[in-house]
Amino acid sequence: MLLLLPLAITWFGAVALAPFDGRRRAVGVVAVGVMVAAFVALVRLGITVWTSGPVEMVAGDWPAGIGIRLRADGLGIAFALISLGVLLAALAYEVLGGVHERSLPSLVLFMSTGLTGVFLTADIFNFYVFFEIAMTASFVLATYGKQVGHLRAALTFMVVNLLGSVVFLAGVASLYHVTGTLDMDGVAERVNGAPTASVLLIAVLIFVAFGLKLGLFPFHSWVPLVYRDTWPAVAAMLSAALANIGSYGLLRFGAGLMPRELSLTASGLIVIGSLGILYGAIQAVSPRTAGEVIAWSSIGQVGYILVALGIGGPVGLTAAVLYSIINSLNKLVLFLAVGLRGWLVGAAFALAAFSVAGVPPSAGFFGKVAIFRAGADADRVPLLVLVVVGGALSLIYLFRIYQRDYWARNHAAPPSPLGARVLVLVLACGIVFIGLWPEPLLALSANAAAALTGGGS
Amino acid sequence: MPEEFRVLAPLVVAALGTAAVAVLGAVRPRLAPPLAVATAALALSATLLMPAGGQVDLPWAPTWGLRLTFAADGLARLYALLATGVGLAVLTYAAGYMPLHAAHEGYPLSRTVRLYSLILLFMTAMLGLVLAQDLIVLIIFWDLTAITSYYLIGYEREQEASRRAALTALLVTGISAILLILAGVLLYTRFGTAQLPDILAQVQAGPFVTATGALIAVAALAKSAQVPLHFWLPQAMVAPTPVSAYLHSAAMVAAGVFLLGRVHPLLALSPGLQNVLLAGGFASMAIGGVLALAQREIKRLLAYSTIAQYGYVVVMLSLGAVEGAAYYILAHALIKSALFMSAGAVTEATGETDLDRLGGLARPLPLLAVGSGLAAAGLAALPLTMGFFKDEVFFAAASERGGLVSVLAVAGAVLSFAYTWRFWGGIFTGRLRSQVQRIPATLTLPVLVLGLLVMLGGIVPDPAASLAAAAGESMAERATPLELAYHLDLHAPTLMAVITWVLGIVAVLTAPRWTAAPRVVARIGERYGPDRGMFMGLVRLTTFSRRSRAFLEVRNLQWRIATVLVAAALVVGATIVLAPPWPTFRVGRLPTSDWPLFLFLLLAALSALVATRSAGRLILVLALSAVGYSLAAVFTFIGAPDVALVALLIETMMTLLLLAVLGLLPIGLARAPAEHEPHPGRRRAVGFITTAFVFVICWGVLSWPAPDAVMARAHLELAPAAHAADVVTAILADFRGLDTLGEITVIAIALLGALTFFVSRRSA
Amino acid sequence: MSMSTILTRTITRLIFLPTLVTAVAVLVKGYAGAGDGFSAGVIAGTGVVIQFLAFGPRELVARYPSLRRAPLLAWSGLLLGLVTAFAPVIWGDPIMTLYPRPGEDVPHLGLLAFHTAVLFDAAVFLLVFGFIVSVLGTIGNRYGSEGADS
Repeated sequence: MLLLLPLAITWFGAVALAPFDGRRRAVGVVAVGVMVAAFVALVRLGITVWTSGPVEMVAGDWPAGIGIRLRADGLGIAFALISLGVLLAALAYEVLGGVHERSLPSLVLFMSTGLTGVFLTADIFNFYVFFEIAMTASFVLATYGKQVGHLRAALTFMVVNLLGSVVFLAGVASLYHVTGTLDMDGVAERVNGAPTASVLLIAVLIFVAFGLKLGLFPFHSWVPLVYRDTWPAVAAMLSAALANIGSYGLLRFGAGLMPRELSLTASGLIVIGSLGILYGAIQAVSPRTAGEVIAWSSIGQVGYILVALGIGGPVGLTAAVLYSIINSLNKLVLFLAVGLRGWLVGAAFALAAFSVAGVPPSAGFFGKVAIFRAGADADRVPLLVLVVVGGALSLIYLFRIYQRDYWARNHAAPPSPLGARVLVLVLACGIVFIGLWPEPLLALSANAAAALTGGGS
Repeated sequence: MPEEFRVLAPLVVAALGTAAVAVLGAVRPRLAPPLAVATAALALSATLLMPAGGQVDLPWAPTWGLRLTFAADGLARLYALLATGVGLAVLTYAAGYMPLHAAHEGYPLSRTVRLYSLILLFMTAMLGLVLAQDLIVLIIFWDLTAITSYYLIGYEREQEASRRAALTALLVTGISAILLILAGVLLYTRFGTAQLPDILAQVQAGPFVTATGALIAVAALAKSAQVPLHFWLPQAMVAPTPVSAYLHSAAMVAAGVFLLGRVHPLLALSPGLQNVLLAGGFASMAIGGVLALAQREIKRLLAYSTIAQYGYVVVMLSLGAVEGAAYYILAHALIKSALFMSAGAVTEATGETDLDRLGGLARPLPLLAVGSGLAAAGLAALPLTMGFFKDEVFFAAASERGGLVSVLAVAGAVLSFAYTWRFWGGIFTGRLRSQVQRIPATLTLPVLVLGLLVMLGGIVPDPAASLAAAAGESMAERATPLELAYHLDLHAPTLMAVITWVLGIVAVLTAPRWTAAPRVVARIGERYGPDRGMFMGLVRLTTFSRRSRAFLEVRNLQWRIATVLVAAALVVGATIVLAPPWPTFRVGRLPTSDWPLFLFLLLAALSALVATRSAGRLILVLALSAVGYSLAAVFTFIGAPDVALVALLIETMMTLLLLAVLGLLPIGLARAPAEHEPHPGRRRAVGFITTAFVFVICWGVLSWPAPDAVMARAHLELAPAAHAADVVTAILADFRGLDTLGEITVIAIALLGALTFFVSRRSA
Repeated sequence: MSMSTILTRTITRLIFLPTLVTAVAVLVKGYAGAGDGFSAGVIAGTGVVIQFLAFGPRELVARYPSLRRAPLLAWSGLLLGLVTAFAPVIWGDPIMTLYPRPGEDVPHLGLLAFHTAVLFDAAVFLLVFGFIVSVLGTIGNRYGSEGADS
């Protein structure tokens, strides 16, 4: 019951709001209310999971492995919370600023449904189904704004990501083929029956699919255009909520289902991640618009997640979860701030930028510390150097664009609605608050990592 | 409230004051200055009331074993006194200075509120930094000082020079701070605790300690503006004078040597590192001193002087004279902030910043001349000032090492003597060259108070000495008594001091003969120095970034897909190398019963090929539907009538729908020529690579069917229980009904998309 | 390119009702052999697509003004599906629980069985049919009115 509540709230909400014109303020407000309710339900579920372990349910009352199993564990809850939170913030932002299209509230709710489902299912095909829900909603959302630029970005996003979905579906089918089951526990148990050479290829399929979703180098070709040209709130949703499917998927399928293959390819992952960190950071130095800088930055930032995953172990996985969550928060604030003009916005941008660069007191500092810890734990000196270089480059590119956009320019444009600006600043202060009191986030990610390695909940 | 919480009082007062000034100041700008001064005064009293050796220990992040530990040891007390005491003087000064400055620059008073709250925030950060005993907490406050200083230096954000200076400072101190974070995490991981006393108790000489020590040292030296990371400080002089007087004399730059002191036991374990620090200190003394002689702008002169003076401190720390270093910092902080404030007062009175256009101000501004003169006497290490003892402890440390070190020490001190005269003499003596306006007493008073303190410290040396001794004790973790007195016998330090004065006077008198020399050095520095190096580095990085993107990044949709496919193929290739498919993968047989199946697959492949080569839309649609129908046929052959039915229906439906839509499109709409379209050869290559990787994956996966398809078997067995004769229906509506529900949701979302897309396009 | 010969128009009109009947049959017999709500929805939808092809967007909208409301059909289909899926949760059973429970007797009316999976299938049918008709309606509305303008 508790397990299904967050899912049910957004799902019913989405259908109920679908026939109405979302440009009307009341519809937007109701949608925000629905999201808040779902978020509260999720927190409630989270408390149960943290205190008394994972919550499970098999659909249709069939035995596990025959019906679809849903399960909320620390990892799923962590990702669901951050993703739902991001969507809630982005939706509230649009509602405060004025919704432009009738379907937006309903689509955001559908996307929440998809994301919540992805994070709370323990069945690989069901994962794909929820993933499709979220993806389809995002395809439509990407056209939001309907200028030529938005549409071109949406087309690119859709085509490249459909390719990713096909690859992932092939991966799911392959896993089913070699294990005979779709239940995650069953897959994890039986996948070792097949030879490594075969399973590695499946792992590659899944890696490519999630790498693409996450916008990981070298599967990033869609990212700069899409994040730059979509509507700011949509870019925030894509990069800070939808992309979580990628990092979650890598963690769940890699560390959870195919740990053997993960450890075999760990060095490869670290190399790819490192290349991504450098490549994204270097490319982010030269663009002249904030949107594009952040887009490139995000390609570099997800590299850290991959590196942490490659290092593995409790420390590495904790770092991966922590970094994913913090990265989402940073991207949310940065993209939302890009869409606004006026006082307060610069401060929000700067706070998030410090967080990206890992400068305390911000949440990002603990992300960097976690990555350093993982690197130090694994005794990988080149990696430590790389993280330093990456941090240095991020200071350079973020603060050059910050000064250009918020210090040098006198904006003649009228300031954006106060509500949206205050919201962004509040979110940015949230990043600082986490930096000042990191315990909940640290515990949350340690718990999430423990869910993968078998300890804890 | 428990007794030990008094340790936190200064920190809490400063933090609350920051918030109060920011909030109330936003409403009533006039309230900001008095409130800020009151906060500083309260914080100073709270610092004085801190129980010696008191400690607060609160849990903070138990998951990582981090604690909020703050202790009021000797080192912390010394720096806390500096931060709050000098802060009080500077804020008092700012209350007089900022309204004048705002009027000159032509912006409203409300904008100055930011300065007060930032200075108080800086004070908070500084207090947190010096009190913290947990390495992670210390790092947080360390970076908070960097952030605050970034905003203070960039205070006049409309001006290009301010922005550049702020960015330079942020990059130098921010990037070096990442090294500190790294060092902190390395220590934390190695020793399993972030508590500094515990770490320092466990460290042992070795490459690990040398490496972490080096990382910490780089961060500290960058903060204290030591060569070659000094260049941010002269640039930072674009900030309003109160900022320079506070950050760039007593606080920000002092934080660097504070850190060196805090981890002194760790640094002391590595002689190599100590020697590097020694060399760095002397280099800063030399370069700072010489360049100070080349400056014409008074605040920049003081900035180079600061670089040189902190060089002294670094030298002393590397020589192990921790108590001397502590005393030096105390003396220098008072002196330098007084001098910075006099520079600002002079500029406000005359509107000039250039030494060539200043002079003879002793008569119109007598009190300022006296206060500033006392401070300058201190900087030149004349007797009856604290400055005398600051050089005394320095010479004492140097003469113990003897030889070259002593000679260099004297040379450095001669430079200080010379540029101090250049500063004070240049401003206050000689011919009056400018108009002088009245300045409020708040600009003169703090200078005078600090100057008198410098003199008082020279006459009654004990209080300062005991502060420094206590600070030394907490750095070295042993008793470090410091007794200061005037010796009449000629022991080495006194002798060195006398030599310094003589040479200094000679240098001042012969000044016209050598003034060109420092300017040449300055010019060389401008052309080849680290400042220029960083600027060129940024330019090159940007160019590299732009060129590499133009070269590497793709611009059209086809290429975007192609890069993903090729990248995936590369990963597959790497995997094959890691785990070769031979002999793991199997090659099955093709029984004759499967020949029809094969034929339909071939048909599907051929249709797909036609689709890729088709010129017209109609053929494209038909070719695609041929692919679909062929596959539907395949399903019937492998005994999946349900799937075949659905495939057939969907295919029919899609074909009809596409034809219907095609009919609505304008005829003869030529395909728009795409930009950057891939060359056909390359397209074929990408296609080939993709096919190869898909083939390898299919082969690898299909080689190993699951020995037991548990789930499918269970579904077959349980279908009757689910009231269904047809297992596929049972799966769709029951066993995996949740998936079906999800998929119909996907259809609904697609509908929502279609509705908004077409409807709003029309209304738009 | 509406294929507007008298022959096509007449045939199209004639086969519409049989198409719907077939669709319902496929839906109902799904539990005995091949077929289910999805196929049924597509079959019924195809009936409308053929009409669209035969009459063209403008005339189709004119003939069936109710096309405008078709999205509601889809939404109610999805809502029915959701309710069927989530209702058991209210009294403590897992999502998608089948009533009557496995092993219990199912009331029959000829081929038509009364259990919740059939209800769910009906929801799928409604949604798929509603989807196809709504899309046609939207296209029709758009191009139909544009045609009227020009």
